[in-house]
Amino acid sequence: MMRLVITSILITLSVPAHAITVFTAEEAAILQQGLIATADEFILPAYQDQATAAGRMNDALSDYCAGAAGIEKAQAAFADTFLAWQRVSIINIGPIADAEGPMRVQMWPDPKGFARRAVRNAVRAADPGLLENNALAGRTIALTNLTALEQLLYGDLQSATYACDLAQSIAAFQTSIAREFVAQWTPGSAFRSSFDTAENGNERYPNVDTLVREMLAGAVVHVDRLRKFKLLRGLGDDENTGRPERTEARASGLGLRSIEVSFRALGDFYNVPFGLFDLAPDIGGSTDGYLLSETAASVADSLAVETSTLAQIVQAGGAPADELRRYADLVLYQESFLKTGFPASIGLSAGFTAADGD
Amino acid sequence: MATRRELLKSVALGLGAAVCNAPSAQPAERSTYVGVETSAETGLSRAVFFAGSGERNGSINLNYRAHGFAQHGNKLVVFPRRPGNKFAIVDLANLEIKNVVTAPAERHFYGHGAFSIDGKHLLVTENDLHNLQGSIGVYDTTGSARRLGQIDLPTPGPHEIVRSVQGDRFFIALGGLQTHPDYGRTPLNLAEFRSQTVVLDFKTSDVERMGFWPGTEGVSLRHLAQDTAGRLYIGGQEISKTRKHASDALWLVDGSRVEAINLGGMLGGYVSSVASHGRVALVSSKKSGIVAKFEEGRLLDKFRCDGASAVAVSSKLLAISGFSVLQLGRLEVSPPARHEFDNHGAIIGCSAA
Repeated sequence: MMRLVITSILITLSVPAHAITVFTAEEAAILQQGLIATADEFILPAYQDQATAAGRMNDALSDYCAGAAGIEKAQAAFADTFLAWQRVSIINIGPIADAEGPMRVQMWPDPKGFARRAVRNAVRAADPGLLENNALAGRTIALTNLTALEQLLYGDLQSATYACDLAQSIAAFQTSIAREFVAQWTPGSAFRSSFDTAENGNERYPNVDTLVREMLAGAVVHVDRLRKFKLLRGLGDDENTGRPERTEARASGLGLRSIEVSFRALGDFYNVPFGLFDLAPDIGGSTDGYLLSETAASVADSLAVETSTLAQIVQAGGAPADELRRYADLVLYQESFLKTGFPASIGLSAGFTAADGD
Repeated sequence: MATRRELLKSVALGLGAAVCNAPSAQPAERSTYVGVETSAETGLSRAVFFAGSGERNGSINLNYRAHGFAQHGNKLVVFPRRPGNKFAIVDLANLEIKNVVTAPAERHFYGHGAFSIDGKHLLVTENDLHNLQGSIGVYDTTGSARRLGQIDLPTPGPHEIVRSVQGDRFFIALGGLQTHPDYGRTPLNLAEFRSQTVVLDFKTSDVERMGFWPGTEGVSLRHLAQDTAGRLYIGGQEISKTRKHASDALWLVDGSRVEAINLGGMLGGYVSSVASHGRVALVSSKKSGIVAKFEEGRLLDKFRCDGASAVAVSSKLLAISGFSVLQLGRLEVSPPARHEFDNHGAIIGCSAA
């Protein structure tokens, strides 16, 4: 635990930035290879799906507001966008972590009703400036995120109204930021170059340790959110404490699909061929990710055939609700693996990262 | 500029039992440094007390993640990390928790506080969740701690508060960001926030603004310390990525002069903590893994420490901790398995002199 430092207690800056790593160059190269595969095979495609769906949503809303189509197409595209986001939200590093972070895309839970109030106030004020190109950039995230759009899209939205045009503006904004995520995760971009060269150390990532830590910390946030918010916030600890009104995406009825996609994303995240968790065993890393991915996929499969909405399950209680609570318990194993099991297996401290600081 | 050898020599002078001249004293009395160890599994912290020899003299388990400290005499306060709503007052005579204070409803703490010069009052940075404005909670700590009231601050996000060398005047870093625990740590006013430092005169409750300094746009000021000559070092964190130029997010106030310290981006736009004693100040950045040492406002030396966070300095001891190492003078101490050192630490007892 304690030892006298014979050499020097403090290493001067003459030591290269990447020197403080627990990995050998060979180990760092293996991890870097896994991270790049994870970016190429999981992260970038997930953001591309989100951007594509958001673009379709924008077009569909444009048609609906012009009276050229029904609202069903826009709602279907919203569902695709919303669920694509649930998948990629396991990634909490890079451009998504900038500015207000993930709540730029989805501000939920929203116990104070910020999104509802922002929508109500904007519709009442009917400021034409909000409808101009890129006018929502820099505006309150309460108005520009998917929770606000859901309020409009599933709230008796009429075509040829200010509210409809505002909904389209939000869709356009969401399309814009999703495309920006794609651009920044595309190989050759500034961010992606930092990501791809972490093993050598760069301004953003002094070593691959930092990058792995940040990626794991982001995934921990994802599973913590899955358990505490998506599952237990509405379900409560037992039937007596279930509250349907606290479930996610109640207006659109997408709450259960959101949980399904979150579990699916977790399983796929572990299972990227030659990805981080696939290659880590080459340097002594835990193989538990394989079993945990099977568990997550199994839960996702079970949820995929459920026909009730999350709010209906919470309302009815009984065995289906208990099953969801059991899933919440299963998430704890995922969290333990991501938080300590996996990093410890490759000799990495958990690392309270800068983003975790204060 | 001092060499590392000179630094080691200077800090080595006060190590071991000689620090307190009381080798047979109680464990608490032999402690010279208190740090925070946080469990990676539970996210909960404990305050851990170290002797100058690096020996662990004791620890106190906390049911929250800890952040900063304040000390007066035998009273040591361990504050929670934002948005914690309780802090513990520890009796340094026996290393036991004397009181746990819970914030009033619809309030939380920001992780820092400071004692009045007579030690009777504790001033704590708080968030009013009704309006997301900052305030200073004033607590009477002469008996069982009780909240006396609050002093409103002009903008949101107060973080560290330190007492001035001139008495009961307190410097407060106002981060400027509105946050609400129901929304995690997401800033709710990112587009328009501004950060500043204010001075609170405790006798009159007057709050004097030091102004919005050029270059602080997009930076949230968080941590600060004053040397005995009155120089104030203030560190922040770059929050807005729209800033045109990266900086070190560190400012120096020397008399009427306010200066943005340029270290060539060495601190990565993120200052974790600031400490000062005598003419010396230490500034850490867990983002860049650098600790910068200043003397009389000038950069004297710089060191690397992975996850550099807690810094503390006295006339006899210098302490720096990163994720998995506490450098206590010439000694290096590791946390237990699956624990890491967290954001702040403090020199306590006779070593603090």
